[in-house]
Amino acid sequence: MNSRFTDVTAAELIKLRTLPAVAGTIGATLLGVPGLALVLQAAAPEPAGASAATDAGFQAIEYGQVGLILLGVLAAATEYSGRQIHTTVKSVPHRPLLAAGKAVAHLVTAAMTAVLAVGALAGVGERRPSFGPLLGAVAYLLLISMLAYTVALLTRGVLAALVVMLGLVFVASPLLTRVTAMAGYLPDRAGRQMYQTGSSYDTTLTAGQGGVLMALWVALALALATVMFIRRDA
Amino acid sequence: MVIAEFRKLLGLPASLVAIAISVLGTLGFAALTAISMRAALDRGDTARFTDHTTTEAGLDLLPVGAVGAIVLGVVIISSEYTSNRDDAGGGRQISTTLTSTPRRPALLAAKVTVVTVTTGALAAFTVPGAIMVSQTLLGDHGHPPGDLVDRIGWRVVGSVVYLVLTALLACAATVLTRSGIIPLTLLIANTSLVSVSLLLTRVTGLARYLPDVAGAQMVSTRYPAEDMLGPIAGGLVMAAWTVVMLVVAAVVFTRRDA
Repeated sequence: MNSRFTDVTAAELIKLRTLPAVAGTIGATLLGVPGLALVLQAAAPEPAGASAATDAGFQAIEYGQVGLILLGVLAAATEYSGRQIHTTVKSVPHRPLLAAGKAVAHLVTAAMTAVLAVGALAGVGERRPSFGPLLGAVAYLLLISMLAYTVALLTRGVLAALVVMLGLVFVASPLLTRVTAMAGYLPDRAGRQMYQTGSSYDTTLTAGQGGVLMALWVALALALATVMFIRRDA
Repeated sequence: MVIAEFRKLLGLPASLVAIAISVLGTLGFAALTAISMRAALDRGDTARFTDHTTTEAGLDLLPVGAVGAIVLGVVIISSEYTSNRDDAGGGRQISTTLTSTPRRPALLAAKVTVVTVTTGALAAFTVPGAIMVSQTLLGDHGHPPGDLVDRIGWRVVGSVVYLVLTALLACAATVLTRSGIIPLTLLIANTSLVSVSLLLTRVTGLARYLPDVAGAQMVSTRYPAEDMLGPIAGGLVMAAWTVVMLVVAAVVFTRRDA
């Protein structure tokens, strides 16, 4: 069982590594996040005060998460663009094993990308941000990527999953925030508490609470997507 | 040809979802916002919601409509290039399309017409609809229709134009990439309230000529950056971007192998 799990994970990692779109997304994210941080630092409206400079850096995460979302979507949905899923389930008929292997392979890829992106972000910053928010940013990126992965596993299509995730992060959650304080409990809003250092953010949740809440959202979505993956026809 | 393209677009589940997002999303958010605004105003909280805010209620939901417009613009092209299931031969619809309509400029023109009409009709319904829903639900805090037309009339038209041009930009970009992933990602990520383009306006004054920044001047009177173009000039700049993109798309589409 154990070696089979390793094999499945290794196979999924090879699939991810050899997808040009995945490599392109990772590359664009690793260049884009620090690049954007540099631009935002140059644009910081006030002469770089302590919090303004760190905020500008972390603002790059807001857009950098696009890369991690895309990564999650591609990891789950590319199987369905052709006939690959049939080959996959034929070679690994044990679906729970397959689901676990896929999830772990994606987790590893996303973790690597998130760590490198946030590391690059810290590297270009004028001031070294403290360790806590950096760790929070990595955790946030990892979780948002997992959420995108589960959404794509459910929709089975790249475009649909992208619209759902980007619509949530960039359209629905900012608009809902203006309407009700409950929006603070949405996965992305809760999770961003982990890295927000600015004063402009609501204090409904602490960083720890936000992180746990987002992790719960993701765990719930992942459980649902896994059950569907196991039960639904490929 | 135009009718054929209409049937193709409206036969796609993705288009129907996009239309649903536009209509239900815009009107739903308008209702939610108006209800919470009214509750705040009833409590006497006039600091956050001024006369200005209540006049604009419904207009600021443009990002929701923009998502629908972007999806429509993207899928009318990207659906042509998606492979069929291998069981069905694994071909792409574009081969069939070009076999039946070999005149490529005319084909692209038909697609552009369909996108324009569909998004235009959609926007002409959702934008005034959102405003009407907002004003109705605001109750006593709403504004009489005549007053509204005086104050925001041209911006309703601006919103419709903005949405149509956004859809056309998405359509032109997808002709170039053939896959919807990149245009969809970039355009939706950039509709957010604090967009990358807005941040760029703080770096360089040239950013005011970016299509979305220029186009937003047709809608917004309080754009959070200084020295922006006027509404007419902004609209013309965005239209110019759209025309250039469409011309490039037409040249590429005509010359490149399908």
